[in-house]
Amino acid sequence: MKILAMLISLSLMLALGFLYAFFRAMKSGQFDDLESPAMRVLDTKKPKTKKSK
Amino acid sequence: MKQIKSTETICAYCESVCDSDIVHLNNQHYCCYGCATLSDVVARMKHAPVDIALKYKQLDLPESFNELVDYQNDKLYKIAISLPAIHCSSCIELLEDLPSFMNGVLSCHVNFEQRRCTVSIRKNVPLSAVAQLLDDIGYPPQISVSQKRNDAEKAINRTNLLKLALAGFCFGNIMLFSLPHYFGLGVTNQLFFTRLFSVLSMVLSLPVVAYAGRDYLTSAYKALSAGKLHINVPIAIGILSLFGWSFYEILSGAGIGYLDSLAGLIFFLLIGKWFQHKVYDHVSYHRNVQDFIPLVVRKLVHQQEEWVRIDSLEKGDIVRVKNEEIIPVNGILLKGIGRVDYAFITGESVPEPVQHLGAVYAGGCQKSGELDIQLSENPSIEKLWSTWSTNSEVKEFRNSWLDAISHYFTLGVLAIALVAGAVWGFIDMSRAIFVFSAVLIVACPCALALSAPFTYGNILRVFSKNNFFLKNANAIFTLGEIQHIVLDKTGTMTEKEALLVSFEGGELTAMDKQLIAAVTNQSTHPLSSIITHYLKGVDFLPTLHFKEEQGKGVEATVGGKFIKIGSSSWLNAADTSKATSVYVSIDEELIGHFRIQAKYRTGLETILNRLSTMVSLSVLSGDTDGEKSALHHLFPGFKMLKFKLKPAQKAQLISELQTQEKVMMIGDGLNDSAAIQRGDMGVALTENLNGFYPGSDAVLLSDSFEQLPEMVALAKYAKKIVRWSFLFSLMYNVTGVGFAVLGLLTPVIAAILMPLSSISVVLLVTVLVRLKSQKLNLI
Repeated sequence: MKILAMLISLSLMLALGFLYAFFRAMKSGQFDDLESPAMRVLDTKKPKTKKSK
Repeated sequence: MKQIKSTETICAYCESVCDSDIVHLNNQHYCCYGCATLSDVVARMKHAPVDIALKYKQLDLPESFNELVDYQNDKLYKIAISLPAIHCSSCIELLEDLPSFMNGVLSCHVNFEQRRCTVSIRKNVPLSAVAQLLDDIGYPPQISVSQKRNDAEKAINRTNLLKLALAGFCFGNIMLFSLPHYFGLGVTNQLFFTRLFSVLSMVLSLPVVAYAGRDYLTSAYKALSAGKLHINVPIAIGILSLFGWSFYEILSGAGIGYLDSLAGLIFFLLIGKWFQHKVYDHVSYHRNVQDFIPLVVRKLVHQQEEWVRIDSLEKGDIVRVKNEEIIPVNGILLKGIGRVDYAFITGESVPEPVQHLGAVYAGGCQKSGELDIQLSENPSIEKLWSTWSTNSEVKEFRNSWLDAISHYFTLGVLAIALVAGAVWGFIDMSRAIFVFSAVLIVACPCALALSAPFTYGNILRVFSKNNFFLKNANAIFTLGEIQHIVLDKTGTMTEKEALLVSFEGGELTAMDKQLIAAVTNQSTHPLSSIITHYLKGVDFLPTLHFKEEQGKGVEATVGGKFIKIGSSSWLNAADTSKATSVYVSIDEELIGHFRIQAKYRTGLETILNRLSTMVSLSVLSGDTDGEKSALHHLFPGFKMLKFKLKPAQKAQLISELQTQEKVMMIGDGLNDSAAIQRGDMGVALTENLNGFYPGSDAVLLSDSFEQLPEMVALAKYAKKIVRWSFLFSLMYNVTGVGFAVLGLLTPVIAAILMPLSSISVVLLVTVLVRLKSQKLNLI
């Protein structure tokens, strides 16, 4: 049964890791805008370097 | 399948193969209208705009500029610009392409949710040029210091989300540690695991109370030190007693406490809060008068235009105002044709002609060409401001009813806890403290705290879907209590700048039309231009002996006929119509008159009728009473129908109404701001959301005016929903308190009762709001 103690602490560590990752993402502004990146994917224009103007 | 007309055609803009209907423009082929338009815009915008509007010019002044930019070095600067016109993915595509069609713009990144973009610009390109360019391509920017202040709030939103995530994380984990105990799984028989789980729960609960739930504790503390019982007080009592008792239980080895309920409570509270904030993402109320009145003006120095700040002007200086610009000062007209639209101030939408050396007033909008104005007094922004808004204090909404309930609730719970504790004190002293805290714990006002935010949050969402944006969630409560709605006429009940012109007195022949248009076309009088516009499409004949009599009308000889157009008295006609009328005679023979009416919004009659089933209605207008009979005919039930009112008089009348009833004022942003401010609730009706609405508590997009009765009905229903959810959760509370008073509150019962009551209340109000909104056709 003692193995449970280890499993629990491991899972908690793992979860804390995810929480930390979320905080980091949040602070870097990844959750500030949830809509525009999805729309940007639809941009059909080719990269500007290919354009000859 | 679409029909393929041609293969092998490459779109000149996006360079993809055009597979369906090809669009031709300027000898180029495009795959769709989007590409054609974009390409056209891009071609036209290759050069920086020449004519920069006044309101953007002021952005270049060093004082403003330094405040506005987010970052600058000697090569470039970075600024976040609000563009409320951003609408769909094509807008993103166009805007992020900005560097390719404006020299000096280095990068542009759009945030769709907030309708803003971050632009990096080379130092030698003025901000005004970029702003003007954005305006030219259809995205009028909002750049102001007040806008920047808004960003601080965005940061608060981010913190709220962090707190929410933290509380959710801890709640989930504590729940997992508590489950084995509730279900009597084998591990709990081992002291080691019970201890481990308890300690872990305690550690996890610390950040929940100390960080995530701190706002509730501090706000309750503030309320208590001010001697008030706010809704947060019972919440804080609940949090503290749960926390304290759980720690006591765990440390003394008596049990595992109620930390899961505690984390759950805070988690749900934060969800409710976040939910309410979400709605405000792209509406900004933080605009002030400077965003509207130009801060810089063109001063004429030796016949040369020079940009100066408005506060550096003095009496006697001459400023130049161009077409469609707002007149920044009070003064005398020196040069130009004055046709000034004072709609902002008086509500009268027909521009007022101003004679040479006549007086013009700040706040008017010039409608026909350039003016030179000599200042008759020193300019004062404060004075200008005051014509629009008598006081700019922010109205604070109080949900008085909810506050009262939480008052009694807190007192009631405390009384029960004390009495039960005292009674147990006689029976068994060791259980007295347990019973006392158990009552506090189980009576924790989850429902009280959750039902209002969730009801209002849901309703705010429904409202914002219908383009009705409230400043504050508690405003819904006020909206539900409104008994009297006062409407403005121009721009509120009528469509802006839309006039209904009709000719009465028989059919006009094509010849008559030509004769009349020939004369009216010569005149700059607003009514003449309206008639000319109405008769559009006819050839203008040459006129002889044209003469315009101020305040009377115009006359001329056209094609050998003598035409006279003007007021009824000038033409000796009987004034048969109450509306604005222009009479016409040909060769001294009266042939009829033009009737010029405001165009009422479609469905206005139905809207008024539906509203009148819930509230009384009145009209206060700044206009002439020409429309009185028409309005009366449209809806006879107006309690008050008054015209020719100045903004201050409107506000005065509203104050009088307020002695008996709760009054809501609906008007268009600026000219009614005093009245809007005065009402218990002020709604600004606007054509677009980037307007300026001082003193208003809510903004309604004019397209959604039709839904107003339903939204008022929903707000009235909100109170019922909150009441029902209270009753609902009261059942839980009575059951729980029953257990607690009897000293029977086991952790399992608490663990089931508390989350269940929270979740069921949230579900209940969400479902009720949805059902009602569906019934009202709002979603």
